[in-house]
Amino acid sequence: MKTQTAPFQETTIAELTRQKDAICVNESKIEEKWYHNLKYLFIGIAFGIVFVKAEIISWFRI
Amino acid sequence: MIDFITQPWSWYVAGILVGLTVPTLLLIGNKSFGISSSLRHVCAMCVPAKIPFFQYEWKKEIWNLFFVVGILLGGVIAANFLSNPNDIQIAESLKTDLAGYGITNYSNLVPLDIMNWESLFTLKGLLLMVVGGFLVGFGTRYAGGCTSGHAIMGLSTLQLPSLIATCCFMIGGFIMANLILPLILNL
Repeated sequence: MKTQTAPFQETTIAELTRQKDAICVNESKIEEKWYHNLKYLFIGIAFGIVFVKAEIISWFRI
Repeated sequence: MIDFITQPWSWYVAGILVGLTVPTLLLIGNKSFGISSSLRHVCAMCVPAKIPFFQYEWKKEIWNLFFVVGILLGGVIAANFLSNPNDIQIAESLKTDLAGYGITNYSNLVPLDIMNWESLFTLKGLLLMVVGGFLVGFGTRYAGGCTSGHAIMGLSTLQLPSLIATCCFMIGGFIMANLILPLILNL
C-alpha cells in the first residue's frame, strides 16, 4: 500500500518514517538467540502433561 | 498432594490450562498457537524440492518445533512419572458395550486389546492405526489446521472457519463413534 503523497513534494525524514509505518509487517523483527526457544519447550512440556493427565488424548474419551 | 498429581485432572482444570496456552504464547513471544503447522516446517526443512508451499524461511518458525518437542516430552513425563496407577474411569454402560468387542483392558489411555503390534497387521488394526492416522493427517492439511489449531487458536481469535471446522469435528466424531466404529470393531 502506498501512502498518499502529493507529486513533486520534497520528502522529509518524517514522511519516510510514516511511509514505513503504513506498511504493516507482522513478522517479528526481534532476532532471538536459540535458547529463547527453550521457553516454548517448557510451555510445550506443560501442555503435554495436561493432555495426558486430563486424558484428553485417551482413546476412551475421544 | 501426590493424589492430586497422580489422579486424572478434571476437565475444568485442563480446559483452563489449555486455553491459557494461547495468551501465554502471545505474551512471551507473539506466537500463534499451532501444532500441526510443525509438519509443514519439518517438510520445508527436509524437502529440497522447489515446492512454493515450502519456500519460506522456516528458521523463523523453529520455536514451533521446540513447542511440539516439548509436548512430546511432557507426555513422556506425565506417562512415566505422574501416571495414574488405577484403571481408566468410564461409564459402566460403555464398559459393557466395549466388552462386546473384546475391549476389557483399561490400564492404558489406549485399549491395549486392539492397539498392539500384533493387531497392526490385521485389517482391524490397520484401519484403526494406519488408515486412521492417515485420515487425521490428510484432514489436518485439507482443513488448514488440526483440532487443536481450529478449536483452541481459531475459536479464541473468533474465526468463523474454525467454528465451522470445530462443529464438523464434533459431527464427524459422533458419526464415527456411533455408526462406523462398531463396524470396524466387529471385523
